[in-house]
Amino acid sequence: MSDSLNIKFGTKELMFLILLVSAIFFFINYELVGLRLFVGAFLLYFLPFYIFLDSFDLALEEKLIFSFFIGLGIVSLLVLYLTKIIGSIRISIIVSFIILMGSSLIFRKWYRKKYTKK
Amino acid sequence: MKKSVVIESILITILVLFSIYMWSLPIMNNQMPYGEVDAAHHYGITSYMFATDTIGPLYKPTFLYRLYGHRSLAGAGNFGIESPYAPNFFLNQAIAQIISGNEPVGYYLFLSVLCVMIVLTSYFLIRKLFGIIPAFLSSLLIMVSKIDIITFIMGQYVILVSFACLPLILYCYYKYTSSFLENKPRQIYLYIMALLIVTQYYNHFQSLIDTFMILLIFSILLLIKERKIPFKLKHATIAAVVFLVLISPFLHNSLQSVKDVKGFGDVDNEVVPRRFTDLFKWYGESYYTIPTNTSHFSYKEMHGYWTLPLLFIGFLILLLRRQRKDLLLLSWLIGLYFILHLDFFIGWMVPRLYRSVNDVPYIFYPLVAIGLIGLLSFIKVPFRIKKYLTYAFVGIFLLLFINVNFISSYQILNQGYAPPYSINQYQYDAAMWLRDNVQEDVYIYNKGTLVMKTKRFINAVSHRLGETQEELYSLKYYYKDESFAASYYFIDYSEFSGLGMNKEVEELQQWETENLKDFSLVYSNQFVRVYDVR
Repeated sequence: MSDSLNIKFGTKELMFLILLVSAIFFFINYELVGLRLFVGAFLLYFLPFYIFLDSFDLALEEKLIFSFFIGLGIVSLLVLYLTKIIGSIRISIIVSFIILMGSSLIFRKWYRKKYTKK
Repeated sequence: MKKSVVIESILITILVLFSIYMWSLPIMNNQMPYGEVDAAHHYGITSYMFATDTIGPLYKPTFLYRLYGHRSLAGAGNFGIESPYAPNFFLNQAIAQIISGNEPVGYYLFLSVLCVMIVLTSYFLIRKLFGIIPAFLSSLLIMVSKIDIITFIMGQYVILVSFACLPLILYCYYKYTSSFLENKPRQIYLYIMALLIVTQYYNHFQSLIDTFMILLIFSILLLIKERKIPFKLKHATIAAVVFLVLISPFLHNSLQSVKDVKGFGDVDNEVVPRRFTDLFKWYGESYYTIPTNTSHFSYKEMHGYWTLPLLFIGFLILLLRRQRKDLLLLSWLIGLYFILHLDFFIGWMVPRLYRSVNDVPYIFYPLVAIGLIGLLSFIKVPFRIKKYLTYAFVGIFLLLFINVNFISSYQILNQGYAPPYSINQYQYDAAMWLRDNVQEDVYIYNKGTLVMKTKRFINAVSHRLGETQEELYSLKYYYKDESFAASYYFIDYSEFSGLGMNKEVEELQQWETENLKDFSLVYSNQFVRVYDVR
């Protein structure tokens, strides 16, 4: 029996499918509260750090799992200090997201330019 | 894409989603805050951040200061508003509440996600080192780990989140040292490891003792095996600087809390003489003096005896084989043994070491799974038969897992937290009214709430200090403060009524009529009334 499936999707499609299934799971079980939490946590704790780690030569599963755990530490630190300056956790969350996404994208662009990915 | 990758991805997704489902059963069954011991004040701190949209000193609100101010950064015996703990865990939970838009559900759902992350991180480590079957089987056992479930219910979530980072930290160090020993150093793993230890520190710094002990022992074993220091000083220094810079804002707090542990520990804990025989036990005698359920230290209750032979076989396989990956798990086991016996070696108090009990399943269960698969290597049969034997072994494992471990753990989470074991809707509504309508620094006389933990949650939800008359007197004495006069009376019939205690309901009604008739009723629902008695 062949070890490959006759389906036309690769890693990105599989990741998207898993994300979609997870989002549906959160929505079915916890309604809008669950879906908001899933999407919000994905955007804030995961995505910026995944983009950052994507610059490095790491396996996909390593990037996926490290991103969330690094995010848990860095996001809380950033929001903490921004709240001390801005005075609102809610605004600090938005500003943190912008800072993290912006800096990750800039870093990736810079890194790829400097060290062309093999 | 390989079929096996797709199947594995689907399996691990199902496992993680089912774990989240199972661990969130209490909040799904009853959307009210719940939990024992530390659960209420953790909820209170987070809920206060959510409601006020700011982060101040953690014990600044009166309801927290009056209950926890004596354990502040000011040190043992002094009152203060600064907590010795980093606020990051609470802030992450407040962020979850804000993002989800629902205070209790967002809080407990995110907790469930964080606390089951160990299922994923453990799977990741064991999958990378030992393959799919040991990884999947050990993660199944971790999903229903009773030690973890009890810790979750006790409200000590921080230690679970902190330990969830441990397998990733060990993986990073393993990858770095392996690459270094093969003369192709990949320092990125060491820097990622530093960031992961930061996350661990922000949640509960005590788990760092486990982390550093295991890393130290693994380094020593590698040094002996490879006859070479397994890291470059420059790389280690950069990783250490990253770690120290990021934890520096809270380092003073952590050092103070270590001092406090000694201060409080000497007073709180029974001193048990050192016994040489304790070295031959996984948990020494002194663990049985900790005021907790002793089933924590029972192998049968926590893991089931059926796993014990497999655990020994797994241990023996690692001991005999001694590859680098085996040394990593052996270091974990040896490191944990040392930590759990620090009371014997350096005289630390066991109530603190007790936190590392949570680390036990994370190393025991991979050994059990390795033992099961390793058992097959002792049986010399043709490959085809071995394949069927593997299925049979895994089948027996699953049967025992479901009957001994899964069902009882599922029941704890599914049935444990209906009222009166959690705050009920009437108490919650009244507490929210207090939060919105009553000054923050007033004291409230609570009469009628029977269950201690629901009273704690009324305080945590209302952000107000409500106690019985006797408790308010005791606080007055403790704080040497004459200002402990109740401004409001919180009359709670909900638990008496819910438990069918009609005589007590009548007595409370009589008391209310006699004592509060001259005061204004400011809030009322079906079972709770609040009077302004100023």
